[in-house]
Amino acid sequence: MRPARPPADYAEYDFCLLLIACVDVVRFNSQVLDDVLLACSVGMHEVARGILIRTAYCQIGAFLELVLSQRQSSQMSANSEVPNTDVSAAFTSIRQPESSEFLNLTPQAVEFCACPRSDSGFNSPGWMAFGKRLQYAAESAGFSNSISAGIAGAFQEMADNATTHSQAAATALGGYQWGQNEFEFVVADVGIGVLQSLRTCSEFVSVNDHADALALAVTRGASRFGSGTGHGNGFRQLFTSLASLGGELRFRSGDQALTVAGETLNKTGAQLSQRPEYRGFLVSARCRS
Amino acid sequence: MTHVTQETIDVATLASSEVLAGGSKGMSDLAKLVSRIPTSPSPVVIALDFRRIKVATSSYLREFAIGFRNYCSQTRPEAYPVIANANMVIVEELRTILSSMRDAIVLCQLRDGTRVTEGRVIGVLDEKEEAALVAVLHSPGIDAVALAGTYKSSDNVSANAWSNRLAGLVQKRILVEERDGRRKRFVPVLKELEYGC
Repeated sequence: MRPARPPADYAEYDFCLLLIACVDVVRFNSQVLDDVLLACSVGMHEVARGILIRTAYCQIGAFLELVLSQRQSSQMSANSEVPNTDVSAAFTSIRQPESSEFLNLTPQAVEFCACPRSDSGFNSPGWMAFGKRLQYAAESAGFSNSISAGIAGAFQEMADNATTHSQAAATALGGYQWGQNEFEFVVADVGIGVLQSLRTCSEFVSVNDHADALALAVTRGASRFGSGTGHGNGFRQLFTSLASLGGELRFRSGDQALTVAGETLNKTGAQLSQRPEYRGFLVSARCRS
Repeated sequence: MTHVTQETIDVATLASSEVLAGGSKGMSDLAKLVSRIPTSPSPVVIALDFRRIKVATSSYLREFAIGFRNYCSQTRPEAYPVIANANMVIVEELRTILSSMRDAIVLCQLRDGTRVTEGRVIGVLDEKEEAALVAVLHSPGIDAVALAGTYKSSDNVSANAWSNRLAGLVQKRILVEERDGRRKRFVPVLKELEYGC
């Protein structure tokens, strides 16, 4: 059970708090995240706080989106509490790609790493080891060798996108979490976002809202490099590698979220919805074996 | 005929990974590859061996494989890269990127680690380049003047135009250009080479 969406009518405020108090354990996923973002956007910070302090399990994508949204939004900064889970513990020690301190290839339960800031960083030992741990984590979760390699490839593509297109490579972060038959990863940056990136290309200068930009980039492979250049295939790898798996993909940029969910992750089922502003780009993937 | 030698590069060793994704890693690996290619006085086929690679995304292949092919055609005229032992998923990625770029590249298999077999051109050639390739596959060692003479009745194309088509295929490293005095003769980069399959 989770609290209903916060009522617009403040007379129901106490009822909402009461409802939250009845919730023993909240599984913090993208639906609960949307409730928290909505609660904050209408000033109901106690409702959001009530959810967060009762969270016992956190999806890594929802967690990172919450943290980065809190950092960006003045409405949310007053409520910068995060769920106290394994994910938040891992977030306190983000690994650095250039560091050679942690080259162990044994997968962690949950782990974050800053994305490389340059081309050569993608060959740095810390990043290579992180990528291999992510791949082995997918195998440990029960995915086949080839699917795990595909998932690792998709993650690397998304990290590359963040470094290459965000104009804020220093803000780009990736992470993974796994459990029995379940694997999640997230890549996020606090850069210019998809709309502004696409608009740097004359071909897409007429695109003027986040919904169109997100749909063009994710489902049609549009890139700031323009058509015929061989760019814009990164999301194809994501959909190809996860095609046979059930789960959820969520993309955030600007005031839009694009979600693909179901027994198969087919981009034709992508749904756009309006959400509070997110500066930059975030992609999270959760899949089941 | 000029002697064509062969070098093999194990891509998994070069890249230190069996999962190759992202244009940035492709560029970084390209820099490593370029520094490892020895100079040669005669044409040398460089087989990029993808045998141990599980995943290579189109962004990676654009920067690494096609990037290396372009680098060779611009600055290493003696080097002729081909893609060897790519699995079906990688071939599909290559097809995607080549189709989007209207480009083509040579694939092959390496038997016993070194013997090149099943050479084929994948991707997109324009009609004129395709006609020139078919002609050279039919008559290896032919030159532009001979081509113009042979196809004069069916296709009234000057030797100069044939020469441009052949140059395009050399740039794509599908044909090798051999000097015979003032003549330029053209042979397929691999003895066994097919197109259109």
